[in-house]
Amino acid sequence: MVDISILDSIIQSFFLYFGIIVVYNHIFKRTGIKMFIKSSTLLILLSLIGCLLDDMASVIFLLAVVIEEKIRFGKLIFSHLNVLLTLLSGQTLVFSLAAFLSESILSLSLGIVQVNGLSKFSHVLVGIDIVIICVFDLIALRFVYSILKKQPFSMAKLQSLKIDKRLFVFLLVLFGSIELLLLVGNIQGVTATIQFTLLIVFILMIGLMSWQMIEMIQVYTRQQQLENEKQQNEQLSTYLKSVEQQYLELRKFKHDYKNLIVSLNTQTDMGKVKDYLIKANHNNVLETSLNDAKIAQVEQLKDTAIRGLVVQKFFYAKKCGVELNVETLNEAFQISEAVTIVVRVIGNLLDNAIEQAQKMADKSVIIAFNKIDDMLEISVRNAIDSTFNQQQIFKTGYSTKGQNRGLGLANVRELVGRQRQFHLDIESKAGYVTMTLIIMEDE
Amino acid sequence: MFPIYLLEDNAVQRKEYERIINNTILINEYDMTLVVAAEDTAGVLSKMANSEEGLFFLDMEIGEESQAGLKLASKIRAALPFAQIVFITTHDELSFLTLERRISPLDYILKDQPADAIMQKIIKDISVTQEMLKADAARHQEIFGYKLGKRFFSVPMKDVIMLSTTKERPGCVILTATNRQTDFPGNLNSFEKKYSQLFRCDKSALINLDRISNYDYQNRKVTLAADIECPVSFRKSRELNRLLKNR
Repeated sequence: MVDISILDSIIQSFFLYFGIIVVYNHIFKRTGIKMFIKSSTLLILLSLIGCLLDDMASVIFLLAVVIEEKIRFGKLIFSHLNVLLTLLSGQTLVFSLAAFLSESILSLSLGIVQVNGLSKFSHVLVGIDIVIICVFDLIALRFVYSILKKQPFSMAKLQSLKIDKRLFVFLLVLFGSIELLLLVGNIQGVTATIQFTLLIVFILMIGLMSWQMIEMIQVYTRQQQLENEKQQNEQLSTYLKSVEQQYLELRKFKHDYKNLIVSLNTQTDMGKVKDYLIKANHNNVLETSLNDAKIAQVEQLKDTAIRGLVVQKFFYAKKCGVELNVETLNEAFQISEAVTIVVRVIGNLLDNAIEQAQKMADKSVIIAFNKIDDMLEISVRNAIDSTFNQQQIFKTGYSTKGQNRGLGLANVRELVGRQRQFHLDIESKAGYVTMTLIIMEDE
Repeated sequence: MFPIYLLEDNAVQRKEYERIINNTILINEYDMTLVVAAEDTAGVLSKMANSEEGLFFLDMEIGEESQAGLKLASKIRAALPFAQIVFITTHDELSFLTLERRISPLDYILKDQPADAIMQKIIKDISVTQEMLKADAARHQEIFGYKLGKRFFSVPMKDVIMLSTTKERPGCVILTATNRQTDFPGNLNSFEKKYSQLFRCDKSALINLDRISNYDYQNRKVTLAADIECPVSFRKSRELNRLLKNR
């Protein structure tokens, strides 16, 4: 253990946090006079605390930032904290390494064997220490910078993977371990040499862990990509199905028209032609669903996935002899999150409704898209009769072990349950059941 | 006097509906009055300012505006949550489910049906409202209310069967009622305090004491309306037994 004076200790701490704050501000592009004053005050405060508490000042610094974020944003911004943790850990390591090197250099050049003997030269020691810190920091920055240049590893990409929180825990544990090591080292009066050995082992471990983690992230990214591709494929096949069905409709339509023209051709008398047209009109031969007002409303659905689904189900319902009506109240309807889940929920609800409606006298299903206050609602309604087992539907809400898993409703419940801002409302009234997916918009 | 409001831009139709409403009140000697037969939404809004209840007959399409009736109904709902609203509309103006979700109207009267059928519908809606008034006066109906975002929802207390939570979705309460099941953010403790007839029989369930159909004290299992079974915790079983005996 080398005792150093208070002033030296302050200067040491100053350089420790100087590097961290400068790099942190640079990364998040925090500039301006206000930021400068704030950072400077923080730096001076930290230097003073640092001289009293040694490495524990870093812990206090971290806590302060956490509290500040909690107050300012109401929640933790993990991307900021991750950067801060990385910087703190890195700087602490550099600091220990520098302490070891400076002590070694000084004792070698002065020929002092006992470490305590160095206390007399604490000014020189700290001087060398700081020089080494600066050199190491610059080398480390240069190194990281060149790596980043080669491999664009942006913050946005990390955020899109949604592993911020896990990364934070990892970094926090790492930082905690380093701090613990240093704390115990200081209390026990461990020399820089032993501390250095411990840290070398530690750095090796970190290296190994980071390597593993990068590997893990890559695997994870690939997994996510596959998942996305799978979803896209599903959507594509849904779309293809709807195109196919539309094509069939068109063909039927064309067929009807052909018949009409052929029979018109055989008529020579103008009066008969008119008669025929009136008859044809009367028999709804000319009526077509192709430009039906009911389906035209899907124009208001701004999410292509949902629009595709509704169009597909429209034709599917038609095939089943069920009429699907779409209500959008002529206002744009857009879902901002978890569209794929919404698509699956609506798909399930519509399938159920169409299947049920097939057996009913009233063969119609209504789907309504509503934006009311700060929430979006998608309601599906169909007729029911006494065979419709209401009790079971309701029961499943309480005990998920219900027997109506085949209904697809259990599936819907599970999907809705996973999303915090989703709610399901089931209401049966006067021979009809309405199932509504409610999506809260603000968060 | 219970106020009735009418909105219809067509003068002939308005006169006709006005006549039907006034006659119905007169013949049945209902304690009601037709406050206004307006041709635009402003006419209704100006007259309903100091009212707390009412029965509204609203035409959906006013002049060029095809959603005028709906807009007015939204305003009425916001001001008078328990107002009875009836839409008078042609079939293709009707967005049935949308209206149901937004306004939950008492009834719809389709214009494209014989005049007699329309008259019968109006008469029926007035008498239904009268019945509701009587029922409400007889025993002040209790309401179970919950909030979702900024919106307030309500279910008659007599319909509520149970409130429950699941481990899978903490912070979310599932309401099971007659013909209704829904979930919303909240916790059971606050509802337990607010509604005295709800009994906490388990850490994850609040049951309506009025809806218990059977209680198996031995196996600590209570059966509620719609055959919903719910376990009763050991601590609460005796209390429930006592409560049920005293009823």
